[in-house]
Amino acid sequence: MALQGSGLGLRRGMMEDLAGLSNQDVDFLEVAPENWIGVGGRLGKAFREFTERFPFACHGLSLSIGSSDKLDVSFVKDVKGFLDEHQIDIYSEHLSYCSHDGHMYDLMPIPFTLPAAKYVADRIAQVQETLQRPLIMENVSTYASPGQEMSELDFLLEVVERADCKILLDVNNVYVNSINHGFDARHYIQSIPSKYIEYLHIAGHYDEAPDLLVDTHGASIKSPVWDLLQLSYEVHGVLPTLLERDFNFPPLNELMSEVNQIKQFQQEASRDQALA
Amino acid sequence: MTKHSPNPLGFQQIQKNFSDAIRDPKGYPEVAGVDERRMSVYRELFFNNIEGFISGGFPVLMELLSQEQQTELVRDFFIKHACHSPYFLKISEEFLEYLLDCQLNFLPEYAYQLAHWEWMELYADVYQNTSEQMPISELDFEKDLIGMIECAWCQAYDYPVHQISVNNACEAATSYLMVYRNQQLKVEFVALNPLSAMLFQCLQGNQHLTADEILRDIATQQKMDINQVVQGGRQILQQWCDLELLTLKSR
Repeated sequence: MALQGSGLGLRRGMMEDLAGLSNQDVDFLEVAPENWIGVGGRLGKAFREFTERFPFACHGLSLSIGSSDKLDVSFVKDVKGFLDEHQIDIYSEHLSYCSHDGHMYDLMPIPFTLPAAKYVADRIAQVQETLQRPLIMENVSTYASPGQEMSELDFLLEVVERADCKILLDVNNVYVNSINHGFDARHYIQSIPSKYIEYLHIAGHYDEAPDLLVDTHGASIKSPVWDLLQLSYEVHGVLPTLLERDFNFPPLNELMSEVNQIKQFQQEASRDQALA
Repeated sequence: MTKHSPNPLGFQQIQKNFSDAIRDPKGYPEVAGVDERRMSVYRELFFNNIEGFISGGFPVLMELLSQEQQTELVRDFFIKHACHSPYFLKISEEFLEYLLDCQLNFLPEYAYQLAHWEWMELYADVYQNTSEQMPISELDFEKDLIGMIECAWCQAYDYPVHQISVNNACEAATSYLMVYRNQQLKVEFVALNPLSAMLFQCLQGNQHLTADEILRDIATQQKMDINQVVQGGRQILQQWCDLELLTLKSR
């Protein structure tokens, strides 16, 4: 089932607060399969109560698609089993790597080179074959560009065209990187062919310095990022959009007001596009 | 336009340098083309993430150490142990594996066993049942073939690890601890005496014996008085039955 509307990333720390939500409040939820595969007990039970009530997307963390380490095929099979069990069609991952001689549990920037793009595209094809689903690649936020030989945008498009996969466009990450690496965020969004984009992410970030933003998912969304969301709707049409909040959880009404803001921008964009 | 790469997999060498510099900032202080301020964003994010998992998973062990020692321990783990699991909940297991070979001399001698005990709680909390066996509420010692529920584990430690705290260092003493997840999915533990621990082991593997037969076997093996063992054992089994820890086996 394709996603639609506005979604929220489901985290363990917010499950009690969200227990009373219905799909009138939020259209879909998203989890990292790494946090739920093989989990039973009270957590597994609580998770199942959500999957029975909401459409879900999975947003993985540990695939490490750009890593020099061997692709963990048995892990990919576990992910497939999990997606099948909970009837989830959407599986996105980071265009990044999180392991080198072992897992490091956070995201590192793939050197933007042509050989790296080819290497990653081959691995994506391998994953898609095992999953029997498209792999959706997210543009990640980065604070450095070691070994860069091409722009982030060119690298993204090179990978996606070669692998014939989809894009999860994170508008906050576009903004963070545009400041960190000095490129034009609007041009980046406008340059991606709409046909590749499956859905959007939005989140808050932390201003470490005027030229260095950190993608923390721990604060409310800043206004230039909202602007980029509206631009994305204008250029690519209204796409399903998910709010990510990973810590510093605000009261539920505050979180829901951001979800509602997404809904409002989606409605406005639909109206504008219907009139045009 | 992209430049020609002299080495097609040269990007992997860059990845190695980058990951080395994150794991071990002292050993690899500089990365070509990356300024220190930006490198330190990565170093801090990664280290804090790992530290969060370790201090969250092993609060008692960490509390026994000074702040400097905690930092050194997490850093040593990050540098020396290659984690194979993609699962975040298994970082604790990776850490246990690391502790087995850890050479840091400030760790107390019971560090591994304490950590194992702390890990058991997490393990029991998220364990995924393979069957839906219901516990029994009444027990006929002479007739019922019984076993333990799936979510009960017994472990022997060389120290009373369940009593260790920052205010309570401990002396070596064999301790049998049973951890279980009750029907409300809450994790509990009970300290067992040697007889109960033996009974637990027998019940876990039991296929065709009644409660009394198991107790008589234990008495014979241990060269103990049969009546005494049956009497004491029945009391233990009744408690376990009340805690909903026993299941019925079919002959």
